[in-house]
Amino acid sequence: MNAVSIPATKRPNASRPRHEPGGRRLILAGRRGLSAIPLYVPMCIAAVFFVLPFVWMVSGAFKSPSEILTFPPKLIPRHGTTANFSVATDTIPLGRYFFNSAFIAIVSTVGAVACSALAGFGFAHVRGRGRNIWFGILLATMMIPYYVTIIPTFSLYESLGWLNTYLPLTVPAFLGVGGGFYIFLMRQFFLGIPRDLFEAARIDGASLFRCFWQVALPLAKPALITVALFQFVASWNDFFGPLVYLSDSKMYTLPVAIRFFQGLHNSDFGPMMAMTCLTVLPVLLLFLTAQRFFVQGIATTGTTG
Amino acid sequence: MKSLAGAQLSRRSLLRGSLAVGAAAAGGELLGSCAPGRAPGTLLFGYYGSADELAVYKQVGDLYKKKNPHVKLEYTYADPLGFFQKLPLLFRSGAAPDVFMAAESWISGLAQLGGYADLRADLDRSGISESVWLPGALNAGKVGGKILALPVIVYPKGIGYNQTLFEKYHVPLPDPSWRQDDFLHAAQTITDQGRSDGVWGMNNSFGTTQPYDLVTLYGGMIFNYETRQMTATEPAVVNAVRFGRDLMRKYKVMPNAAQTQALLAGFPTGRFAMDIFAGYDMQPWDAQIGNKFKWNIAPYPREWRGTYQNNNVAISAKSHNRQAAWELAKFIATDPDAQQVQGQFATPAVRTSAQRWLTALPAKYSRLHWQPLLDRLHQQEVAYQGGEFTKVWDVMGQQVQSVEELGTDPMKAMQTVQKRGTSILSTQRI
Amino acid sequence: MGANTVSLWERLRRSESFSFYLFILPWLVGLLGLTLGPMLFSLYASFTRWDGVHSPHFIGLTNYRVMFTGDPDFWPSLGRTFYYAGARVIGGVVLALVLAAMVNVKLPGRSLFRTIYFLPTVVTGVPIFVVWTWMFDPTNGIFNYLLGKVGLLGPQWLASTHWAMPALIVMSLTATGGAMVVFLAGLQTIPAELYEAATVDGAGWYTRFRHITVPMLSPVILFNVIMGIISALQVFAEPFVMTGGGPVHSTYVYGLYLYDEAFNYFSFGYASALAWVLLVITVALSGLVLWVSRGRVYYAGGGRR
Repeated sequence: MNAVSIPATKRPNASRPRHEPGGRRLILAGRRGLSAIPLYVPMCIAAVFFVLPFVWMVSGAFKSPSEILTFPPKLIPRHGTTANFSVATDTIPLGRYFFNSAFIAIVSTVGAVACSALAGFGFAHVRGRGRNIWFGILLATMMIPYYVTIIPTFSLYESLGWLNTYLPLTVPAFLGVGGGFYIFLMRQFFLGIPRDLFEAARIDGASLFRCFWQVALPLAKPALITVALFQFVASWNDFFGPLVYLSDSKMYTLPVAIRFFQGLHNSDFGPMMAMTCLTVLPVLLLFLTAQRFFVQGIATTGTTG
Repeated sequence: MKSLAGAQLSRRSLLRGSLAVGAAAAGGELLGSCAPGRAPGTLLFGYYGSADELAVYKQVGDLYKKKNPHVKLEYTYADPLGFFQKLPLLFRSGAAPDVFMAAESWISGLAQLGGYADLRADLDRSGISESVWLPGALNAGKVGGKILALPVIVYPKGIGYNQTLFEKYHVPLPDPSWRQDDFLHAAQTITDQGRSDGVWGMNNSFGTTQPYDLVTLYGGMIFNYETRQMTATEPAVVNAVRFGRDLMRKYKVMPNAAQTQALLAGFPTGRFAMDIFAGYDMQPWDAQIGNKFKWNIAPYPREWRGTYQNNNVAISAKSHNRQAAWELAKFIATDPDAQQVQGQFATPAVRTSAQRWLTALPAKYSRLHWQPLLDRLHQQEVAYQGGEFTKVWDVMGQQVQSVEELGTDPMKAMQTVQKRGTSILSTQRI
Repeated sequence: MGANTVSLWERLRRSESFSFYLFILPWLVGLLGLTLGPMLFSLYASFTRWDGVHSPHFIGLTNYRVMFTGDPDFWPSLGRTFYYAGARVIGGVVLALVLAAMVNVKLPGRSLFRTIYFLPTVVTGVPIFVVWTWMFDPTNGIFNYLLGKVGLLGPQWLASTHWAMPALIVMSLTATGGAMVVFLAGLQTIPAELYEAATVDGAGWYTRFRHITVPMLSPVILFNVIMGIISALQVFAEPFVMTGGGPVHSTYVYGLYLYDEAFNYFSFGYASALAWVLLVITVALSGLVLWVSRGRVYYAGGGRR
């Protein structure tokens, strides 16, 4: 297929069918009719596969210790119990950990979105000396396993006096640490925006920043939301960072608390599953709401999928 | 331009929103960074465990505070694996808790990092001798000629047996004088007769999942910790590995890894006539078995040794409050009240406390035959680990798996361990 | 200052290069301040013998020499990691693309499917790995139970040296929701007119998919492939929790090996060397992918990489 570039439309009649140069008319009706129904079959099969562990986990949350692993595997426990949930909430200050997790996640998400949008735009559309080198370095920073830099990083934060605070868990996001993925993502998206839009704006005298702010950002809403979602989930589920940098147990987060049900010799699976269920709920809700913005993002950019 | 206006609107609210969050963040950071560092003279007590165990240790700490009102004590805790992962980082930065709990494998496991203080002088000065604790309890703390930790609780080791199954197939119950042949006879009888019910004589909880108990079965050890010489090919070790393989492939009383419940349910499913029992199984087994079947414990057969497991308390080598730290550690390891609190989940290490614990157990635990297991505690081997030794154990574990799962000849496997172990141990460490 | 001369500073300030650096400034600060230091330290550590607590002891290239010639674990674990990564990346990206395309069709209930597919990315961590271990249990697990119902004897999964790795790969495929979301965002930017025009020309769904969706998404595909490679090569948590590297080291991947050397054997110097070798390999692989994609990736913005 040849490289036809149809600019994301700002033309007045974008919403009405356009006429092809050849004079053909568009036929919109019947495109999504009965032909779509077979789609449900593979979708459902995949869905079962994806949701199975979650279902099993919820089922485990309601089982008593003697029922956790039985043969044949039973999805619905014979003696369902909510004891696991009360164990979880009684032994752990759930509310405080929830607040801690939320605080860290929200702050780091704001930081990650801001930094990655700026840097992504820079890498995509702003020409600078050595840009490719910096981009290569960016990719390289993603390729070192976390565990290896943990000791020097720990020492660094210690010398900065950041231990036992939330600083190591939030500030790095604003500075793009560990955000190579996001910057890369934003760059790819910004690259997908046609240059003529920027050129049009620059001809009108806009600075690069205004191009970014008024042209690029609104069009990249889905990407921004994606970054926000990923960062929130990553921060919400992160156990190693809070474990290592915090010693005041009042500051712990939910993932750290879940591990309290993993003993050295035996694990307490019921409350572990129950607590995981509780931990997962907010993120699920977040995703459900984020989906609506996804759709909204589609509407405001004027393109449809 | 409709879309641009829409973008402007959302942009404004986005701007307002992020300003708000930014302000909150700044405020929060300020609060967070004001977290006070440890005030001078404050002791930090670190511990780990499941949620229940954490509560117990906090109780001990609170008890100490009550008895010593002038002492400033703070707590830090994490889950077991997390605590273990954190310790080297804390050792390095000098921020390790003054007093902290450590499992037996962690003592030798982390000894070479230099984080533990030598307690020999303190013990002598306080006039505490080893006989305060159960025989053999202090063994895990004795590393390289020093004493790096004090025992707090012990996990007696033996065989847990399914009494219902034994009675069903008319096999005499294990008793303290039973020998390996008796064990084998019981396992074979039950497996043969229970085959249609999917019942096994013995669970595979040594070997595939934990090579330590298999290796030390006849008192062997794969290396000499002091001289750093490999001893993997000595008869005690090879015969033990061979026995493990035979249980699986010759006598067929033990399932291989694939047929096992592996890590999870094991003995409480009621499908195993016997399994290795350690003190920390007391509470989980009771919770998971409930009334499903009758069960009890017996010591290992006469010929067997096994490995020693317990929990200890140690002092950080870089502690600023050495004296105060010693007082707290001594309290946790020897004070009768502290011992009693910790007896909620395991056997106290202090001799007199252990006796009292036996009499005070609730019925569901006191019906278990603890005494013979406690009597054999001193015979159990300490499986020293740490650094290159841990690597040798991993090689060993891999070879044991190879023997049991792939049928490798035990002698050949141990020769492999010997060869690789020698090369690993000869590498110079700091 | 004459009327015709512009000061060096003015020229600098107005240059695009300057703007570029402004855009990437937060990331740059994070890189130089928080990331580079630990990374360079770990590079130095790779030339030392170091237990993580005492001072490092310089030993030159010994670590690297031992690694390539004297270490019986290095090459096998690398091979296993390639096996895992290859299957996971290819399977994962294809699956994510297919799922995204399916979910993008305006069928009722599609947001439910979207949520389900994204669920495993959100619900992650040890409890879920434990659940998967239950599901893979040869005797009591749901998979072999269902296979039995169909008359097939299920394999030993995590207890078999042949099936443990495939089990982990299968599990990793359900975590492809993240890539799917990225694809979804990308799908939103494809103008509908392209599809409509193609339908008019008589193109079926497969042709539309192959000639519109895939090329228009190619930057995103590239992105997901590279990100997939980077994260797959570093895999650690799943084998750590579920198999411990077994049975008989069949799932002992590079990440596990690195962790063992660092945290269990206290060879931080060697572990750092392993990490840098992995980085070089990742860079090489990514470079290869980028080079191969040069003629094939289409950027709607009209720009080329």
